[in-house]
Formats: sequence, C-alpha cells, structure tokens
Amino acid sequence: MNDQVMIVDDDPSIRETVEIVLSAFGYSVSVAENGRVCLEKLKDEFKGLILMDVMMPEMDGWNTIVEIKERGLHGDNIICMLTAVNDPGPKMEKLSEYIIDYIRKPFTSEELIEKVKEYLRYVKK
Amino acid sequence: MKVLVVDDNPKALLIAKARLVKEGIDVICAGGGKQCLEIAREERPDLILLDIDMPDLSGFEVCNRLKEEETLCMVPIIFLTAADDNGNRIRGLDLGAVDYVTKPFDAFELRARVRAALRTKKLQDQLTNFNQKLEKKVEERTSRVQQLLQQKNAFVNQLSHDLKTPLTPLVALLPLIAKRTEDSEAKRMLNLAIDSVNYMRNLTETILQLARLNSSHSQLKPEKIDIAFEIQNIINALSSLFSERKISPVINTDTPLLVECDEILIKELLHNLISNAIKYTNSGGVVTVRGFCNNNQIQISISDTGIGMTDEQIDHAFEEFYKADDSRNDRSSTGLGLSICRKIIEKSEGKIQIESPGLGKGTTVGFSIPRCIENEK
Repeated sequence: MNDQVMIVDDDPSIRETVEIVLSAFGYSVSVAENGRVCLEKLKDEFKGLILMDVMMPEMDGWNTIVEIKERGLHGDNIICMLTAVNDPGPKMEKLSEYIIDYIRKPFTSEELIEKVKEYLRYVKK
Repeated sequence: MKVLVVDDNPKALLIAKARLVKEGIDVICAGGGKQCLEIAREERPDLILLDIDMPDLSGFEVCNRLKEEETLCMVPIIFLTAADDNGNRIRGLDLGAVDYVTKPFDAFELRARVRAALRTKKLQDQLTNFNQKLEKKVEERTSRVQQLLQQKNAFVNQLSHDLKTPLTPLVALLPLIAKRTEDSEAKRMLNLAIDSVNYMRNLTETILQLARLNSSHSQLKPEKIDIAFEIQNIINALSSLFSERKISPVINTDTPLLVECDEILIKELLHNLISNAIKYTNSGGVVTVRGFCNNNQIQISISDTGIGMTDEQIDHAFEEFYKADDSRNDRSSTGLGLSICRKIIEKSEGKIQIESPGLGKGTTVGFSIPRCIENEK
C-alpha cells in the first residue's frame, strides 16, 4: 500500500512525532527532511496528504509549494501547513488554492488525527 | 558681544559708539529702521539700541518686525527715548523691549544698562543652549528606549515561537503514553508532566499574544461588530463550563451594541473576562453580563458572585504576571489575562476597571469603548 501522508519538516523531533502518532492510528507515513526530498517523493508518485512545515532552511514551505506548482507535481495531493505562527498571513493567502488548512504547533495527537482524517477524504484514490 | 545701535542722527550714533567701544563691546551702527532690519538679519547682534523717531520706520515698527522674525525675536532691545517721554517708554516696554535709556546719554548709565542687558542675554543664551542639549538627549534616550522595547518584543516573539517546536512532541506524545500505561504510579507521573506541558503551552501562547499587542507593528483590523451578539456567542461557547461548574449565566444587554474594533481581539477580551468570572465563582453562583449604550460609549459589565477582590488586588490586577496570593500556584492562570484585556481595551480607545465590595462579595469588571456611529445610507 502506498503511503498516505507525507511529513515535510527539517526538525527530526517533529517528523518522528508525526510519524509515531499517525502510525499509532494506522496511517502510513512518508518522511521528508526538506523541500527537495518532498519534490523527489512527489516525482516518485507519492499521492496523499502533505503536512508541510513553513520555516525550513534553504527552501521554506511556501517556496516548496511554488516549486511543486511550477514543476506540475501538485496532482491530486492535498497540502496542509504546519506552523509555529498564529497567523500565516499574506503568503498563505497567495497560495491558498494549493493549501487546504494549517495546523498550529504545538498540536495534540487528537488535533493532528482529526485534520488528517478529514483531509485524506479529499485525496482521490 | 555685539551691539547694534540704530539712530537717524549720525552724531548720536558716534557718541553711543564711543561710549560702548570703551567697554570692549563690538559696535555696529545703522542709520535708520530699514537698515537696522537688514543688518540685524545679517549680523545677529546680542543687543539692539533702538531710537524711536526715525523717518523711514519708527523704532516701534522696527521692534514689531524684529519680534515677528524667528531668528531675531529673542534679541533684547533697549529703546533710546527723550527724557520727558514717559508714554513712549511704557509703550516700548510693552512692545517687548527690555529697557530704555534717555537721551542725551549719561555715559555711566548707558554702559550699566547695556551691561545688564547683555548679562541677561548671555544667561538666556546659555539657558537656550542647555535646553536644546537636554531636548536632544531626551530624544536620543526616548528613541533608544523605543528601540530596546522593540528588541524586547522581537525577542519574546522569537522565543515563544522557538518554544513551540520542542513543545510539540511533548504535547502530542505524553497523553498517548499515558493512555497506554497500565501502571498507576507511572500514570500519575505522566499526568503531572502533561499538566506542566499544557501550562507551558498556554503560557507560550499568552506571552506571544501580549508581545503582539505590545508591538507597535501590530495591525488592527477594525470592523463593525455587534458586541451583544458576540457576548451571546461566547456564553454559548462556554455553556458546558457553566453547567459543569453549576453557574448560571445571565445576559442583560441592549441590541445591537455596535462598535468598530478588531473582531478577534474583542472576542478574546470577552472570552477572557467571562471565563475569569466563571473561574472565580463558586458552584451555584451567577455571572451577569450587562451591556448598554451611554453617550456614544458602549458600556459592558461582567459581574460574578464569586470570591471577590481586595483593594490591593484590584490595584495590581492589570500588571503583567500578577496573581493574587491564593492563585499563585494555580496552573490554569498565567497572570497575563487581565493585562491582555487592558491592552486590547487601550488599542480600542476604551477604558476598563474592576470593582469589588471585598473578599467573598463578588467582582464586577466594566469596560467602555466608543460606539460605532452608523452611517445612514
């Protein structure tokens, strides 16, 4: 079975936390430590929900989405941002057609599962 | 020191000059009113000796014009008057002259009066100088303080954001472990840790909010909102808390109560104040929210039948991190809620105050903000 959720975050503790929580609830998780790896995984035909950190070195979450868009890798994937800021502001608005929502750090496992469950429904099988 | 002597009589000029040069004073002469103005603008004398009767411009007129010019208005003027001319002396002093000397001059008197005027001028110059230096210093300090405040806000902002990432594994994973643990001792430890983590999460969020409100860059998005409607919404949202604590909400407001404020901030304010009222009220109590319009001000009060406050507690209640003694170790309180409320009210050009008849007798928090005047279309 293909992975359903991809977590893109430069912080290993966040990647592992998301992986542990989602696995515990029966989801299969793919892990990317930066935007570049995310793009590669998309090329390798990942299909599902992408949880994307905003603040990452080199290529941040927004730029990664711009790249996804420009390389035509968006497909039927759903993108949800992970952010430490309360209001992601104008950058989020600019890319709003590619982003379904954002999850604020720190999040509880319930908050994460609830959103993942909801947004995976939109991913076309 | 430089003195400008103005007289249409060349003889009088010569005499005055001769008397003053002896004092070691730099003397410049002008033969009439117009020339006086030109030279004064160019030379900026420290004192002007001014004749009254001159054919082109009278001394009074010259005096008036000097007082109107920013760079010359502070130059002291001594009028040269005739001995019996009391009326002109008074008029001259009223026009802003510092003194007068009667013609023909007594050499000693002339020099003494000039010396006195120059002494005053010197002191005045020093004072102006000190003042300017002081103003500059105050400006420098003020801008430094503002800069430091901004740095503090930026620091607090950054810190709170940076705390959020390491908090995530704790917030997400500790409850999962607690759920899986059968060991009751371990469960107790974990629950303690979870409480702490939740408190830290709450604190980070609240500090961030305060930093945002403190920041001069924070942008308000004022829009027209009905406070009465928001009150109802928040009471509804808190209904489970009300019933859990067996406290009855009472709403008594006019509708609508329109204000022009940032919606998020107003919701935050009402939520803070109403949940505070619940928190400090014992089971069976009542929380009453009143709202009405009074002279273009919307006045809201939130009263409870709770534990009340002492005057001293009220005095400190709006301070950041202030907690009343009995809630010092209360993990559900950050000590920042009311200071956030006050900041929100200040940003909305309103006022907030707390009243309590004393411990055990309930508390009323009241605030007022300007009413939004509806444009008839």
